[in-house]
Amino acid sequence: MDGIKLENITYTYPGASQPVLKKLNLQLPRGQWTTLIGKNGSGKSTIARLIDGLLVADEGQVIVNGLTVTEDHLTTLHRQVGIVFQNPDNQFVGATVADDIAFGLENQQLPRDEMTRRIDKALARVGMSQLADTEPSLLSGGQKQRVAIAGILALEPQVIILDEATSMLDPAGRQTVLNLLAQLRQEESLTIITITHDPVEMTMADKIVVVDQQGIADEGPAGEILCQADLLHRLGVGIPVAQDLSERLAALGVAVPAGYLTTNEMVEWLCRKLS
Amino acid sequence: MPEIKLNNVAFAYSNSKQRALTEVNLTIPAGSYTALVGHTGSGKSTLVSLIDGLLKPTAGQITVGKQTVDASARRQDLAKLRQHVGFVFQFPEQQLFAETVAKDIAFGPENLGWGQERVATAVQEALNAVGLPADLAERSPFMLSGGQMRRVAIAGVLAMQPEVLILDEPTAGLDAKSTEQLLNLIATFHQEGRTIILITHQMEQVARYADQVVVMNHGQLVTATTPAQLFADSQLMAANQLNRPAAVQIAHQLRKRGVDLQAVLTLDQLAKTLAPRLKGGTD
Repeated sequence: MDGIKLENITYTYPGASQPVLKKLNLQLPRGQWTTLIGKNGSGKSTIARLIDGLLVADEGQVIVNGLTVTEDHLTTLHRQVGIVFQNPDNQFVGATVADDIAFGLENQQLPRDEMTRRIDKALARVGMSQLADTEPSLLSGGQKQRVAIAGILALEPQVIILDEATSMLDPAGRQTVLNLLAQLRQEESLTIITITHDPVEMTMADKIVVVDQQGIADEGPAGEILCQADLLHRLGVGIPVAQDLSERLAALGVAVPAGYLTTNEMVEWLCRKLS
Repeated sequence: MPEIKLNNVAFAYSNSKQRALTEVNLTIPAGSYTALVGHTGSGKSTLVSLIDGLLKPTAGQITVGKQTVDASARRQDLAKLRQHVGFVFQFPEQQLFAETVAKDIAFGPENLGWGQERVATAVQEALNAVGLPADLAERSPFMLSGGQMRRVAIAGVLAMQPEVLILDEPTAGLDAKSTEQLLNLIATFHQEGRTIILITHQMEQVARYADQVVVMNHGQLVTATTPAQLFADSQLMAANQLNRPAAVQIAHQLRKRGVDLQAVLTLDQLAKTLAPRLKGGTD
């Protein structure tokens, strides 16, 4: 079976009285970019950790590209799924950028030259080859997250998960990371899962899944979810620029087009109306 | 209310031959909302650390209110700058340490030597000012959400009742809702008469709130101007790796396509400018 499948998942954190996920079902096709949105505490990160086997469901099963997530499969699973977390500073162990990437590979008992080949390739993919011998603490936030992604690419995974991985970056750093992801998905048919509050990041997804206390509140193509302004406000996530402008115009009595427009489409529409 | 003046200020870190700041001349009027922009390493943090007396200038003078310091300043002189200035560092919640919210907020005022009663009042007022319920006071700060923790950290600075508030990327890492709440809070501090100095990468924030914007690049002050003038200068923006706010970008694209449009800074202004024409259109 291709893609990721969560079937009837229930998960309760140790000590919690209520399950955070209850009989949840979700399918994420291979090679797609899916974004999970929802309020804090809705269970988005729990879903990510269940897919990576960092957490084990109380009930139900998770299947990643045909592989059932169980303790026996964890080693294979960790080669297939990589996660990048929010705070780039908490993810480094190596004394240099290259060492840090080597650390992740050491578990795989690869021959020395294979390791070197993979490190070089991964650093080249994220545009960080020149900084291979730099101490990670000297990097900017965007550079750190690129190294974290390189560390995962070196494992040659099929699925990459970014859990609010761009939220601490400045706009330029965030854009670099997002462009890199878009490029990787095209070239390597990676399955990408991002968890975010950022409207720019949301607009880059193929599919958006809205998670709330009840489970999956809504899912659909990004455009379908992004034009539901009420929903976005309720979730406390950012509103894409064109949607924001469209709402403000509607509030002033302008008849705006229904459905989601990208910024370029919005500019096109305005030009037609104003010329 | 203290005015802030930097006169030919230079600074070099002791372990580096290169100057982190060169010949900075700047006036930050009392009660202004000044945004400080420029890419990483441009000297923004060094500049505000000098204003807060955390660093001593290598050359030039810094005046905050009646207090002036220069290269010969003693530790006590630098500390006097700090009486006016509160500094909210980046990710300030990482510096929370006390077992309760109230104790954490009280730490600053206690260090100023205030009496118990004055400290207690200051803590209450600060909690209230950042919009946190009073019953959080006895909770552990580490059990709060990220947005709440950040507000506790800001309350700790506010409790010392500074007239100038420096905030270094205060919304970094917060979700959209917490960001909006925090920006509104800062706007309130400004309306109450405090001078705000905001370091930010978000040009939207500059457009919406600042009355003065200072651009730094390679340790030099490029310009101190209004947001409207800065965003109208494409060359200057590009040379300093600054993005235009979304509304300015859309207006620019419309103008390129032949739509006659006055200058706007925010989506709100853009919508208000466009709405009458879109409604009156013959389309």
